[in-house]
Amino acid sequence: MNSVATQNPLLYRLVVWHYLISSLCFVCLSVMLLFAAQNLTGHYFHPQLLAITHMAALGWGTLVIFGAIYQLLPVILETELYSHKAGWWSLGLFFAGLIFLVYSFWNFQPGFYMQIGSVLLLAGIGIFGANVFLTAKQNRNDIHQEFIITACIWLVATALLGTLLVFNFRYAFLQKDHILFLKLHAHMGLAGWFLMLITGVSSKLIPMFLVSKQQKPVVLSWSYYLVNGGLLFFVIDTYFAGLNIKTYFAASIVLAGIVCWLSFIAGCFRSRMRKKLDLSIWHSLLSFLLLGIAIIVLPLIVFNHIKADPRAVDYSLLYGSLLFMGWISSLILGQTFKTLPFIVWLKHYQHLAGNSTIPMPADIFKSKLLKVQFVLFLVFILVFYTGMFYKSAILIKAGLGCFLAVALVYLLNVLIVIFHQPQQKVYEQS
Amino acid sequence: MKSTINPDTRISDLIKANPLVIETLVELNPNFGKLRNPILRNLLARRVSISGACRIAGCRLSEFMDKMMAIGFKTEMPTEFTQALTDDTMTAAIFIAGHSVVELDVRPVLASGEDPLKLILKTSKALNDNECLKIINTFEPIPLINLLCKQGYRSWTERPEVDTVYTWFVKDETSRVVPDRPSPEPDATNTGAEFEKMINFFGPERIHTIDVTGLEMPKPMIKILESLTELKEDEALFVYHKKLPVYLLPELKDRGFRYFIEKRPAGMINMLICKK
Repeated sequence: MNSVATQNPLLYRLVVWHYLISSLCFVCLSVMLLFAAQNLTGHYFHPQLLAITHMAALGWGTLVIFGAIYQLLPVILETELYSHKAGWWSLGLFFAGLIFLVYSFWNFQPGFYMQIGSVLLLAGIGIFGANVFLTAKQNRNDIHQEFIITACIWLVATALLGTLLVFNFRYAFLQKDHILFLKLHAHMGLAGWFLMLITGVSSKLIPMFLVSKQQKPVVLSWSYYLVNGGLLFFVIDTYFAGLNIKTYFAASIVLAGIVCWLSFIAGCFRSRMRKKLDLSIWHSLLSFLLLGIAIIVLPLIVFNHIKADPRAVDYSLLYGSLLFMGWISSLILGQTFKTLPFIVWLKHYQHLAGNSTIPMPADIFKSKLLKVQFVLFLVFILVFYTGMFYKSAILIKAGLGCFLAVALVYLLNVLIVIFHQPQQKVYEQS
Repeated sequence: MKSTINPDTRISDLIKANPLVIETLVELNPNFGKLRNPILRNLLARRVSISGACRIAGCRLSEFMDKMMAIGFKTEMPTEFTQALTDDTMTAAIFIAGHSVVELDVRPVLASGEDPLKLILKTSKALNDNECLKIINTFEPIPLINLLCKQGYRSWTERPEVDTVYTWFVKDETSRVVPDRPSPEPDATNTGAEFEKMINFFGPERIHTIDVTGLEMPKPMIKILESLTELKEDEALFVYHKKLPVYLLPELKDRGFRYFIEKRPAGMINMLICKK
């Protein structure tokens, strides 16, 4: 068994850069949202919304998850990352691809730049997937690991389909409607990548953060098979038949999987030894709530779509924003301060552990800023969704203003963590 | 197999060379019965040398060595050791001749679960050249002796009765005695010395030991926190861990615990956790 007692300095730089770039992407995303506010009540197949969605899903969500995976995989699996160099290659290709893709979506130039962007992204994602697979392949008897590997497979598949769609803009070789593939692409990404991954990682981390005694891994296995089964059914059925009455069935299977996962999390909450919940955990709870609301919206989309009611498009926008700006964002906004400070702490203080004068990981970020961030995020949710409901441009803009403020506060706090300087006093005393 | 031994040989090396050592030692002095317990053996045997063990158990080095020779070890005694240990004419009165005594009874401090080290160091700093320090406690404070010897003191220990140990310290700039404790591993942290000190402070009877190296995350943390809920105020928890449990540390702080770290080979660590 390899030991990971001492943190690899190569790992530190890799992880920190992922967090840094993704928080910059988050600020970028919130600025883009402000510029595109007037389009948020229109159709989702809109260049600016495509750019925003990819900035959110890739720049914000996926990059931070890459960083977190690099940090957590060695901890969870008690092994070293297969290759740090591959991590850098993946980041470089991914980020370059992201810039090309988002730029060409925003200006809608479905030519060379979009194609090169999608290929670079696919390469970056492929390298990431291979790196994770090679890191994890030694000990394959852990359900969390299954979740992470399966999530990576779905991510690669999502990217592959995305690349095909980009080329389809120019060469139109796909037999079916572009929007149909878009639905598959979106749900492979959302349920296959984000949901699988979040389920796997959260079911490992949340019991740790809450110090939960009781855990039932059986429900996690159920969750794994239900979500994957439901998603596969959805992808195949929708490919052949489009959205139809069976879509409810697929959604219910995935939903049952989500319920299993949430019941696992609820069990962790009930049996927790740590009674006081911190803000990061509240952010996660809020994120689960927003996921719940998105799931409630889902049947409305299918219902209206089958009836060919144009409200299906409104609900789709609501659904997408709840998932990206609600569920995934809230989770990252909280969990960042449960993961990033620890890797920074290990770098500066590992050798001083036991010395009573050194700060704790939680002292590295500014908890006041986290409070401000949480309140701003709540205000954003309330104002933005009220605006969406009444189709009020002013409220939507105000909500997005809050979202930008959240991003800036978050970025500031991340920078405070990354540029943390150990106090001179500590070294002198030791 | 190492069959030549001297007063600096660690007890763990002895046992490794010949497991019979344990029973032979129990015969010699029942205090060595602690070595039968695998956990205590692991805890104590590798940090205590033969001479240290003799002092802790209160037996003569020569008797110890005779017993070892009887089971096949060759012994070698450095001359200065032979002199020091056969010098039975030394008494406290001779040792402190010409000094006035500053007495410090740390037993009440120990009983309250506090660490008397600060108090002792403060008192020793305030000593004049013509004063000596007399520490009264329940065991021979080997780490303290090592520490003060490094600071230029000579020490003398006697046991006037069971569970009472007097240790005398006299300033002596000319003798900087080399400690007989095993020297720390090259990569040991600055907290290593502190770790030893705390282990000795609590002593085996007040240390509970758990091994979480075989557990999968996050179970080590849960097991440690559960064990801590059963810990009494004046006890400590010794943990074998495969790595520094970074997510546990804030939990310890929140619950009012301190911890000490000792590095082991292959990145593993030992932790000692006690109340602040």
